[in-house]
Formats: sequence, C-alpha cells, structure tokens
Amino acid sequence: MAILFVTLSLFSILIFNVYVNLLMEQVDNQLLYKAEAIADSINTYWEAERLEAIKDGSPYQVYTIRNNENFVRFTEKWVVKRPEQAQLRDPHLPNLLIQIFDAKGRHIASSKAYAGLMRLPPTTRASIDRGNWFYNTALLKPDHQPSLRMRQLTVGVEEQNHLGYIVQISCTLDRVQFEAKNLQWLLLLFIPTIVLLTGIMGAFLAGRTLKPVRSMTETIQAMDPGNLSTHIPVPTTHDELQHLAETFNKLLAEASHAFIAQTQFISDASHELRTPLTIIKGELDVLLKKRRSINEYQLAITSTLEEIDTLGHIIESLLLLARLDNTHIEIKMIPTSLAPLVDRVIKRFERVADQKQLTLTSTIQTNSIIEGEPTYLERLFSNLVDNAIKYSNHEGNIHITSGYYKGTLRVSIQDSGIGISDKNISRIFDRFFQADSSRHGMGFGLGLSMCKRIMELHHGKITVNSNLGKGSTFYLDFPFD
Amino acid sequence: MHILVVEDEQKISRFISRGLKEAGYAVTTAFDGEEGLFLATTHTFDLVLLDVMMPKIDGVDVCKNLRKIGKSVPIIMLTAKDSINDRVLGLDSGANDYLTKPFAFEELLARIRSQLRTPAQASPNHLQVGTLHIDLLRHVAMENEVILNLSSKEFSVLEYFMRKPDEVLTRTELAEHVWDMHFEPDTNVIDVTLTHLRKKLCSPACFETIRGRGYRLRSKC
Repeated sequence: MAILFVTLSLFSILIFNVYVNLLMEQVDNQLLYKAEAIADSINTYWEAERLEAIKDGSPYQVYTIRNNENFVRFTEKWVVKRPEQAQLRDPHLPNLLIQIFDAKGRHIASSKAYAGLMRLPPTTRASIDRGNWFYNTALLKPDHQPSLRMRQLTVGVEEQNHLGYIVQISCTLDRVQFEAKNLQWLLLLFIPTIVLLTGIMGAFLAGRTLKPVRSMTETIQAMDPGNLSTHIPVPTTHDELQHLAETFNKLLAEASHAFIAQTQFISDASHELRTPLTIIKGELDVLLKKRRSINEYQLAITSTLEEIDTLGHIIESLLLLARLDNTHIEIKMIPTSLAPLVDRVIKRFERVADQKQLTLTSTIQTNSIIEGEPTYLERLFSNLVDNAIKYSNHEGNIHITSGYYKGTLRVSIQDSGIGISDKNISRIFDRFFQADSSRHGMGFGLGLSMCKRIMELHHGKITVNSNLGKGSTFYLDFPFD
Repeated sequence: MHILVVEDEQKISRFISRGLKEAGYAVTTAFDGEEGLFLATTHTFDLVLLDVMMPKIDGVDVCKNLRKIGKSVPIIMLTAKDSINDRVLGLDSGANDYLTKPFAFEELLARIRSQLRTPAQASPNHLQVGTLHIDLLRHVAMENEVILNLSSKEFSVLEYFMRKPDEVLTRTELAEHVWDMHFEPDTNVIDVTLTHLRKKLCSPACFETIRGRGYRLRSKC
C-alpha cells in the first residue's frame, strides 16, 4: 500500500505540474495573440495617421516609428484613450496591462500606472534586440494594493528590418492559480481515497485467495506423524495452489505407504523371529514336563537345532539388509567367476527343488568373470532361485543361462512358475512388496529389493519379463570389459 | 475338557497339542483361520486357542465372527504381535485373554485353567461334589480324603461330571468334551470308562444312569 501511495503521489505531482504548465502555456499563447493584435492595431492606426500626414504634406521620414515623438504621443493616446479598440478587456487575461517602450527601451505608455514597471530591464531589452520574445513572471507591487504575480510578454515590433517599438503585455495569474488550486484539492482528496479503497479491496481479495492456503496450513498443522492417511483439501481454482495441494497429497500418500510398509515389515520381521523362538521354548517346556524316551529327547534336540538355523538365517538377512542400506559402504570387488558360484547356489537348493519336482539347471559359460563381491553375488542368486522355487507349482523347471547383450554380461534366470501380473510387475523390486501377502517366507518382501541393491553396487541392473501363469525370467546385466 | 487349537505353524501346533493332551485335555487342531472358524461353529468346544497371524482368515476376524454368531466359548489368543494396539484389538474383538509368543507352557496351562473356572467353584483350583474332591493343579482325585487311582480318561470324565453336578450329560456331550470325537460313537468306550470309574468309587450310586438320555452325578446321594 505504501508503494501505491508513493506512486500515486509522484504521479499526481507530475499531473499537477503538467496541468499548470499547460495552463501557463495557454496564458502565454493568449498573451502572444493579444500582443500581436495590439501591434497590428497600433501599426494599422499609425499607418492611417501617416497616410493622413502625407496627404497633409508632412515628409515621410517624420512618420517612422523609431524614435519618433509623434509616435509617442500617438501611442499614449491609443493606449489610454482607446480601450475598446485595444480590446483591453479579455476574459482569458485578467488585469491586462499593456506597456509600450520605444526602440531604445524608454517607456512610452502604460494602460495602467504601476510603479516600478515603467522601465525595461537592460537584459530584457538586449533579448528583444536579438529578436526574441521574452516571457517572464514578475511580482509587482502597485500603489496601495497587495502585490500581484504577473506574467509578462515583451515583444519587439519590427519596422523595416529594424526594431520599431516594444510592446509589453502582462496579466495576473489568477485563473491559473484558481485552476491549480482546484486540481490540488482534487488530488489531495483523490489519492488517500484511492489508497484506502485499494487497501480494502486488496485485503479482501488477498483474504479470499489466502483462504485455501490458510485451510491447508491448518490441516497440515493438525496432522500428526502417526496418521499420515489424511489429506489436505484441494481448491478447485485450477492454479498453482491446486497443483500444490495435489502434489502435497501425493507426497502424503507416498509417505503413508512407506510408513505402512515399514510397520508391516517390522511386524513381519518380529513374527519371523519369534516363531522359531516359540517353537524352541514350547517344545523344550513340554519335553521337560515328564520323563521321556531317549528318542523323544533326540527329536526335540534336532528340532531345536533346525529352529536355531532358521533364526540364524533371518538374523543374517536383516543384517545384510542393514548393511546394504548403508549407501556409503565400500565393497571390495574381485574378479569372480560366475559358473562355480551359480553351481554352489544350485547345490544348496537341489533338495527343496526336488520336493516340488522342479528341475534346477544352469549353463553358464566358464569364462564369465566379472568384478564383484562373492558373498553378495551368492546372496543375489540364492534369492532369485529361492523365489523361483517358491512361486512355482509342482513339476516345472528353473534354468540359469548367460550371454552377452549390448556390451554387458547378461545372466538370465528363467522359471515356469505362476508369473507376475502386469499390475504388480513394476512394484516387485519395491521394499517390502509382496504379491501374496499371506506368504510368510524368509524374504518377507525383501528378496528382490535386496537383489536390486546388490546389482546397483555392482554397477549393473536387474529387469524382469513375465507372463501370468506361464513363468518369469529375470535378467541380470553386469558391466563387462 | 475339549480344546480347539487354531495355529498355522505345524511345530507349534504339535507341541501345544501334546502338552495339553498330557495335561488331560481333549485336543482338536486346525491349521488356518477358515478351518478353525468352521470347526468352532459346527462343534462345541470348552476353549479355543487362536493364533492371530494366519493365512486365509486371521485370528481377529475368526474371533469377531464367532462372537457375532453367538458363540460364547472362551478364547485365548496366541500371537507374536505384542504391541499395545494389537492387544487391545485382540481383546476388543472378543477374546477372553491374550498371550504373546514365545510363552512358557506353564503360563498357558494356568490361563486355560483360569478361563475354564466356573463361578460355582468354591476355590480356584479345586472341585468338590459331595465326598468327591479334585485338585486340578496336582491332578489328584479323592473320595473321602482317599486318593483315587484313576486312568487319564477316567480322571477327565470325573472332572467333567464334577464341573457340571446334577446335570444330565448325554453320551454325545461326553464324547465331544472328554474325548476329541465329533460324532455319536459306535464303540462303547464311554460306557466302559464309566463302568471302570464306578468300580473305583466307594459310593457309585451317585453316578446315575438315565436310560435313553445320559448320565448324572448327584451332589447329594
């Protein structure tokens, strides 16, 4: 609002000045017009007198204006005695004062007697000599009257290429002052009113615009981290605010999903860890309740060992996950031959695959050597084979092959399992994603995201191709020199 | 007393089953929520042990459904989920008790005893009907302060009768609650057991046979 006020003030000052200048210009033009009219009138009458004089027989020279006594007399007469012809009264020029000076600058006649006026300042006289009109504003103090501000025009009238006489015409600036004052008052009234109105309007509009922002802010403040499923109201204004609200809601939804997924993970992880513990504790509790046979003790001990192994695997997975999550880890890469590594993995899963009557084979070229971390690579292949087995029904096959593809070493793991739907295929590498949420496997949704992370660490990538009901193929692309 | 164990993890189901049977209970097992709900609605049990995280239908939903159809059987939830929210959710869905895994088996037995206690019982772990007395904790039955030498099933039968004194108990009911059977038995194992039990008592007259209907233990005879 301050800016508006300043701007309007500057603007109004400008307008004011321009207007006053315009009015002054008008006055000046009127003065010039009047001066010319007077000169014309004087010249006409003088000419008439001259012709009369010639008729009477006076010599021609006597009737030049320049330094002519006759002219002086004539002018006096003209100025004082012929106000109507001189058209002295002019509505545009209040308090009109006409003064005539001779070519030397000596006062000849005045329409009114104002003291201090009856001489022409030498500088003015000099300007006229050079052919200029001379405008100026003078403060005059006539006798027994308050001082007047007058606008003067001093014009030299030519006679035969010489300066004949000088007409000085003045008027007061009453009208200009009057008009100027009117404008001044108008502006003084105008500006504060405008500023006030604009202020009110502005505040109102801003309030209107900011209302959705305010409501958004309130909603956000009321939100607590545990309840990210709320969303902020979206204004239907088709502008940046709407876009902001929509973007924010999207962010909230993602954060909410991530939070839910993480909570789900913790719940799953604790279940996976507690189950083996429950088994161990329960079996041993019941075992000790009474005397048992040696065989029963042996069975219980064997079972306990199995569960301890399971616990170990789960803990190892969790630790590996924590390590992989640490983005600053430096892994030592060494030249690793994939063929024996994959063989080891296959051996480990042979029995499980057999139980489901799945054939598990690999044909990796013996010279497939990449820069890698063997432990992580084994984990990578284990996860993929484990998944392939888990998601295959009875009687199928799982095959691992290698080849060169666009400058990379590509290892493919193909299964004939249940496949992945189009809906899910973009999400399977997400943390904690499980296609079938009732399966409690050791991966609990982490296996593939682990694979993706391991591939990233090896500067490679993992992709998948799948047909629902037919099977899936995972492609691992390793950089190869 | 007949307990239904609904638990998807086989090893857990097995040791619970074994432990309960050895403690004198009749046990039936179910391996997922769907099966558990089906059995609980179609048969009568004295108590249900319900795991929460199960495939098909989870424990909380099974519990809600059982309560909705009016089954008031005591339910104890067993689960690895131990947060306050989970406990509250479980109890509010209608469970009588909530036990987190891993648990001590003794605690499970005590909580089961607690849920099976009838208001009529004078003291928490003792049953007394006439001259007959059972110490539930020490698993000892006595008549006139004399310890009775009973087989496991005889003890269970006596216990069941003593929990419902002066009530006519049908053979079917006995089959369902004392033996883990869900049908009218063709074998006369019930009759045989009762005969043996009566033989071991001083005053067998308290055990009445009501032809065509069942049996009754009189508190005053």
